[in-house]
Amino acid sequence: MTLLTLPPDWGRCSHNIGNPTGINFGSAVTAGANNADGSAASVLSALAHDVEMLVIGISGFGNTSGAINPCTLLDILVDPAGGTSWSGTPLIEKLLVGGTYPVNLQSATVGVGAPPLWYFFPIWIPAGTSIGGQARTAHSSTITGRVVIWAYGENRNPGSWWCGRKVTSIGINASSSRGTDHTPAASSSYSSWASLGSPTTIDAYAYQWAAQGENDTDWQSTTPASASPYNFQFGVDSTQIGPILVKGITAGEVGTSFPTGPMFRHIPAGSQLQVRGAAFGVSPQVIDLAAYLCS
Amino acid sequence: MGVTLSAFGDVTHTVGTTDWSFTADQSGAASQTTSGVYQGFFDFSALATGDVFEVRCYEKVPTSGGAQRVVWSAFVTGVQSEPILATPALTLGVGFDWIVKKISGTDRAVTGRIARVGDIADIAYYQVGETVGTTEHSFITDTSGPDAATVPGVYEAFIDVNALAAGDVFELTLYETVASSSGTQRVVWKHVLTGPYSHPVLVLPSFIAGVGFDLTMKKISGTDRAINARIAKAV
Repeated sequence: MTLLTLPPDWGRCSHNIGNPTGINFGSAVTAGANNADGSAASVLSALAHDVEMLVIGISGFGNTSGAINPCTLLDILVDPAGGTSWSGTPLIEKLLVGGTYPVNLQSATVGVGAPPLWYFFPIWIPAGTSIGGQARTAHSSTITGRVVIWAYGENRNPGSWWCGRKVTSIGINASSSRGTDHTPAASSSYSSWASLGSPTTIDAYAYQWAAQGENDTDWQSTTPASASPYNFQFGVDSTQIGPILVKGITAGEVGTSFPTGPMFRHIPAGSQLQVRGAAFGVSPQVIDLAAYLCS
Repeated sequence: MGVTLSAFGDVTHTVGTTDWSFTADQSGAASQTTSGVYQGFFDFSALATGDVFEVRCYEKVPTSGGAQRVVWSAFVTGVQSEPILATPALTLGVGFDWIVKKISGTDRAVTGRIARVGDIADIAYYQVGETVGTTEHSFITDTSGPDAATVPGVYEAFIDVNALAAGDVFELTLYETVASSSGTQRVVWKHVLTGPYSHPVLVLPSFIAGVGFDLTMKKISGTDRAINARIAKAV
């Protein structure tokens, strides 16, 4: 039997792409140096419609040419009144965004082939809200990256799509702008399952997984350089949930992941998230990981 | 329970940016009190590129002194290849209306008709107005829960969480028992509620229950809040 249900039918998609006038897609957000929050930057002002799905693209919080520690955390801020008086509690806290390539679609040598890092959140944001970004990095100087947001809403069939109202970040170490360190096993074998953060406190129904990089200024060239790529599994009770997160660290202090799209699964309160990883090479590096649960 | 295909509406009106009531054929929301299960049908075949219209259902939660709020809405955008919007069937009767308004574009002729199934058993079979804290609170008995209601029926719940503010996290849980003899009451589903809500009335789809059900709410974090809840019994 097939139950005939209606599909989501979003009439609106607000975004901050702008016109194709250069390489600076979206909005600039400057991460504060030495693990201190930088200034908040506006990304979308006073949304004209309710939002049911938020897609966030991040680029440029890395360095293709020099040795830095680019570990960076990005907060997604909201002002329900439509201005820039950002709520004390971010809508989404501490996204792992460090080591992302700058996107440059005008050059054949920089950024082409390395898309932004994408996060997908089925989350409700009321019309009139402004969205901003604020970031911190482990680097000793500020890093300015770019943030693109697609905000979908005005659904013709409102019963067709679930969206939450709260995102819980799991495994964050804000003092070093990182998630939770984990050492994958070598040679395409998986490490043992290890805990990520503490047991959850509320039920969640959608999720995103994240991986960043090493906690030093030598992401890629630590011997041997061929440890990348890495595959990570996330789960509960030593059982994988959702897809494998593929992370490549390819050159300099940058890397790239395969986007997963929005992922739905009931993760009950009290669940202890776990991770394990497998590296292609024989000397895997310590990579930091995090999870974001939508309730 | 007879079916009335044209309980309200069955009219065509050129709709602009002001709420147009299709139950009273007037500008501005009306407040209808004839209880029943209602479903709206709206013909948006006149829409063109650039038009955005919204359909809303308003209702009150408490049967006395409650504010009329949006309980359901949908948006219709541009040229429609499937021009008739059918709303979900909702159990209404405290102070409801179905309205259409233009969000952007050109004023357009919209035809609307509201069908009704009536008479229903009780628009407020269970009703509570309570400050909810960390102790799980039953919307069936208005005491700590969960309890186990055993009156069979087709129920639909309306919960007004207008009091929730930033930082508040509450949990709404539906319980029922499967085995009708010596069964164990268990959780059917949960919803996490995070304040504030711009449309604060939550509507739970109709469910057939009566073996041992309850609908409860408790605070996870934040401040204790006053919650109004009403569970209508259609049958």
